[in-house]
Amino acid sequence: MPFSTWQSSLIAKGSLILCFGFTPVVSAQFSWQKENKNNQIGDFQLIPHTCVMEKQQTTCTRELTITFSSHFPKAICIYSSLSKQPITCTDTRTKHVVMHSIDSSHDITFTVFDSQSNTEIAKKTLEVTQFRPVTKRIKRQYGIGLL
Amino acid sequence: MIMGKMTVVFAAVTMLAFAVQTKAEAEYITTQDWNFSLSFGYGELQNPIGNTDNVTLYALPNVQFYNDRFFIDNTTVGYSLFENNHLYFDIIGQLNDDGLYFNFEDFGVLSAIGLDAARGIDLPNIERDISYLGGVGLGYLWHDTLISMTWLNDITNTHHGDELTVKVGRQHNFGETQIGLNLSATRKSHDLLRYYYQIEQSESVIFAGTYVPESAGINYQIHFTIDQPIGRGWFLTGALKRTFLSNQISDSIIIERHHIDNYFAGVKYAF
Repeated sequence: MPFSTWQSSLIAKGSLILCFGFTPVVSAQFSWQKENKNNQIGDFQLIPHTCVMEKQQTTCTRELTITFSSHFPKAICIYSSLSKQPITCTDTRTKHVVMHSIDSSHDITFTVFDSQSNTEIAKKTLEVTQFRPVTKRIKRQYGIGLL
Repeated sequence: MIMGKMTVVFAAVTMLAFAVQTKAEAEYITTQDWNFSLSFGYGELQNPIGNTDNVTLYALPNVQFYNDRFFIDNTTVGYSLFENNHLYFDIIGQLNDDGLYFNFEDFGVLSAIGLDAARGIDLPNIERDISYLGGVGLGYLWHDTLISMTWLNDITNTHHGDELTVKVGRQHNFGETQIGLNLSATRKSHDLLRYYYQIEQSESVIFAGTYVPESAGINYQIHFTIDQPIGRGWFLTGALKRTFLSNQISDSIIIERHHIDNYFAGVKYAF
């Protein structure tokens, strides 16, 4: 059954652990689930789902763990928005795990295609951001002129 | 009425004087965030000039933005040449208060935010321009108390005068209630006072006689604020400022007060 006929019921859950300091590392977990009318679920995860650059850095370098799992065995190809070539194409199984290194200054979108039907079955974006520490300054207390 | 206001101020001074030291979060502001709030309620700005009505306030905006160096604090803008957790040195620009008294009815920004600038009697021939001042500010945060000094000179070629202000201010959290208190003294130069408060015979249609300030003068101010959160983004808010005018101002034949009381009370929404 083509995944393009799936109903768009999305369940998102995630957690984010930010490691502040000089290591531009974000450990995170995010799952994105699609559910079709036969209650089949495909679970697409990027770990981490955010990459944080230090103040001096212009690109973010990380190794991602990309995981796609489904109730029924599937052959898939995973693409990133940085290339027209697939990151990987796997044989038929229920769980697919890929380690992938990135070096980018912009967000990267990862897309999972069903190899048999060549249809998009999952998509997730890795957010690339600049580390911006919370800073505080002395409040000057000038007030509103006459008041 | 005035005694009541002063009672509140003295109570605040006492509370702050005996306040237990807590972390000085109230003395700092987060950078890169616009802090904008709008208050609705009732207030009054007294105009020290005779034969004028006080100005009624129904709304009061408050805007602050600080980035790494630059800041906007309502009518004050500045650029910090140096700052650490306790000390800062700024270049600043600030609106002069004196010119506002002569131009309430023309000051569109105030009218737009709800100021009722109706005068009892118009002031024929007494025209003074609003001036903007530029200079430097130095501040030191000592045990949650901000001690600051600003020196500002006329940069609008209006009166060629200057102001020197020394201020001691403190903001303190009592539970969720934030109370602020500022005490200040401002020396206004002879040139500034002559421009605004010297009266020539040709201007004395209503006010008989002439007046020439003899020297520079010092105004003293006490400023009290309170914010009590009542809901998500909403606060009960109040502000009271009393300005004791220098003799060089209050002796002017157009001035009918020795001090000015400005206040506002209402609810505030912080965006």
